[in-house]
Amino acid sequence: MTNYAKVGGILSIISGAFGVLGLFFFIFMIYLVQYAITLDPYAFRSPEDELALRFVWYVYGGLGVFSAILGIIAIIGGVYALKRRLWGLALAGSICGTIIFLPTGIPAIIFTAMGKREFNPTAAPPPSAPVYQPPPPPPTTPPAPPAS
Amino acid sequence: MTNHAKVGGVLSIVGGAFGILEALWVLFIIFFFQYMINITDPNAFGNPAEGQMFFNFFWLIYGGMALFFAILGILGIIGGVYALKRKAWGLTLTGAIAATMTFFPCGIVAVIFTTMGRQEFNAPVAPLPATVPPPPTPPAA
Repeated sequence: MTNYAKVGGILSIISGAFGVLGLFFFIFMIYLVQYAITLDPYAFRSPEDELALRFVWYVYGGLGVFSAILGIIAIIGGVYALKRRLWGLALAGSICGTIIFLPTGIPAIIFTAMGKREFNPTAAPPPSAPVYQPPPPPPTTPPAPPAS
Repeated sequence: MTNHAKVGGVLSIVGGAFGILEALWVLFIIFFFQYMINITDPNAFGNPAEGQMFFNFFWLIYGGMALFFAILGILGIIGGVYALKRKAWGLTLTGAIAATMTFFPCGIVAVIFTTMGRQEFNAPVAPLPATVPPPPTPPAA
């Protein structure tokens, strides 16, 4: 059996980790903007400026949450790919990983798609050449009684 | 035989076509921007020499973007055509990945179908023509 599903799962988990890191990155950006504003006490004092700042926080927060959700889906899909269960969820996770981080997401999709057969280990093998079946033995008949 | 390669090829061609359209759109933006600046305020960037330098820089950035999209689009189309012919799986997958960069929804599905249809690319090769055995060489005297 090949290991395509395992490789795809690992790559998907890596992409998902980048997504979760993206949440922290955007939170860091929010604090960075807030810190930069405190350097100039006369900036962003009007109500319109407060509104603009709030808008920036919402944008960064929304991007962070979006990145984290995609990352979590990618990680879950990667774990399922490692377990070789639920190929659809594994593929969805790798697609989410592609949205987060293309260089690992694309190989994750390729490997997950190539390893589709590994997700059905109990399925019947495809029909191949017919197997020789020996003819059934002839029915044994009891010996006829001697003619009297 | 499944038709995964055909579906992937069509989607790859669609993604490649979007890449060409994006390149044309970027070129249109360049011309439109330059035209609007020249009509409204030709001296918007100071003297004409500075304005020309700005436009050259603008052309460099946006022209590079247009070239990038055009290359990706052409690659996607070529890969899609090869997928329809069920030849050169690697090139087909490359085209599908390029289509992912130009138009994500089509490109991702193209990558999936191209990957799943890999076995369709291994069509049975025609048998080699029967070769005539060489005539026996006469024994050396």
